[in-house]
Amino acid sequence: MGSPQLNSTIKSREMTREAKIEKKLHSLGIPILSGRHIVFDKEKLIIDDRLISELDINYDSNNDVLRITTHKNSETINLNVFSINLHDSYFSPKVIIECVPDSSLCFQEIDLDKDNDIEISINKNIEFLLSSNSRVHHIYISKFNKNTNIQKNLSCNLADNATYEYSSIQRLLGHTKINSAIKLNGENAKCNFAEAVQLDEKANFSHMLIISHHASSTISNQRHNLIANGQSSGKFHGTIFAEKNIYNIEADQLSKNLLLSDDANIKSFPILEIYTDSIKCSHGSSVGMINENQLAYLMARGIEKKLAINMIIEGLLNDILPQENNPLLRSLLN
Amino acid sequence: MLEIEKLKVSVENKIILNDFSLKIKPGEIHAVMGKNGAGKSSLAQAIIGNSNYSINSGKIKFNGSLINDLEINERALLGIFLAFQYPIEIPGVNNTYLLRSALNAKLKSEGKDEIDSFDFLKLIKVLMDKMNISDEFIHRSVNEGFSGGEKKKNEVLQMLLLEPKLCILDETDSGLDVDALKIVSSGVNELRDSERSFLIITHYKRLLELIKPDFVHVIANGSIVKTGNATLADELDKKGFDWI
Repeated sequence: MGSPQLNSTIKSREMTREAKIEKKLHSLGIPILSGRHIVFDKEKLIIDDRLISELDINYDSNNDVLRITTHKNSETINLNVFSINLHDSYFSPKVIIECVPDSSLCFQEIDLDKDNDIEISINKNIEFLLSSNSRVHHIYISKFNKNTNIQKNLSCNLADNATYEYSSIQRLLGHTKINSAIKLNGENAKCNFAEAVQLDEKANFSHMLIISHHASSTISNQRHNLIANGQSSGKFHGTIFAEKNIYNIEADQLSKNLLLSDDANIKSFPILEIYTDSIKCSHGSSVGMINENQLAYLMARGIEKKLAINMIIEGLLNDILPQENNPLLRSLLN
Repeated sequence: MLEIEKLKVSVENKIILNDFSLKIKPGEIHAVMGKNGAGKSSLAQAIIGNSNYSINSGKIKFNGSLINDLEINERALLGIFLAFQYPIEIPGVNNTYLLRSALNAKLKSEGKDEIDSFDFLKLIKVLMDKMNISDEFIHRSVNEGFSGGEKKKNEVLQMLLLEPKLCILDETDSGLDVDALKIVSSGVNELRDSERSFLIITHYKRLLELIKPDFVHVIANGSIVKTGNATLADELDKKGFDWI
């Protein structure tokens, strides 16, 4: 439960009703999302009133640190954290999410901006601390203009039987650099990491991801699809690390990448660093242009070339997030 | 309906069809048989306009109009349909999306309104029942993880939905068990009428026992070397192709 002092702090920053937040999101073309909202909007932080009783939330405005802690045995909370209408030239929040044992959270992180002329630098740190038997579904959506520079650090530490699921769609025109470190520290911890990134114009994207297995019977799965158009470039370093003296590990990694123009480039580095013999591991990577056979098949059904290409691209995005029913993800996919 | 005159087709500078001529009138069923590598599938690909198949000379006319230079989708919208020998897998694109997009492209070309989701699902359900296809089928990615029989059924389902004027079946019988063959052939027979034509490419007579052809052609080295009626298929079944 939030303390009276905390309630007062939040209220002093600005308490709004759900309708006001929804109105703002609607103006950005965001569909109505179920769950509770936290919005970084210009200099303000807007927090849904109802969250105060559902989560422990602490915001340190001086250091821009938002700390969120779940309650034990609580029902899954859908928490949507938006960064929108950012007018500051520099935005550097740190969000720490702590899941206590036997709790679960759906954390939707949404970075959007509708104004194409604003120059923004974002330095974002997201840290998950997952206790035993806790579960997080982290959905990350990013859609920014060409003047945006994003530096993001994502870390997740998982204890016994904890599960971290990451589903991301990013449509980018600017520069984005992501460093992610997922540590499976407890037995039976699981991580499912799926990311689809579409790059246009002169976008520059790089993601360095390390999923490290530090305990027995841990499972990880990485799926990455980059789609590069224009003169964009994308780079993906995906590492599976498994330390010695741990057993019964499963780790898979697949990176499928699509080039839509001759001037675009993608580099994919699937890396294995394995120090145990007790592991089932696979990894693969491909980079190529639109599959001509797929294109011919769709066009042979009367579908015009442009739509056929879009269908193949959507397919690549859908393929990575096949079970995703989140309305915002679906709206971006389509 | 379809007139092919002295067609010469190449793939990567290798001549695949040479001096190939064929006329198919409305309502006729033509079967094309021949050894592996004779040019049967290349004929189908050249008719639909696959850009990997270059027309060096000759003409392909459809309903009196030259279609040599038309794109593959433009030919499809004229009513030319190919049931592929090896249907292509498209991960992440579900069957509903493909089927509805294809139908809407056809409706648009006919100046009609697009079909809404509700009407589409009603329509496709009827066709799926005819083809003995389960409901979950249309929500799966196009041809991904399908068995050989499911892929062929999916091709015929698309054909039933789009109701083309010329249906080309490229070895649709291969990979089908007896029951699936009956379902597929009944689907094809349902489309038969006096205006619709079929070009059936096959190695075996078993499909032609269920879909009776008006003409059987034997193709070798890229051109037709013998033409007969349905009894020619029986003869080929007994004697093979070498005697021709």
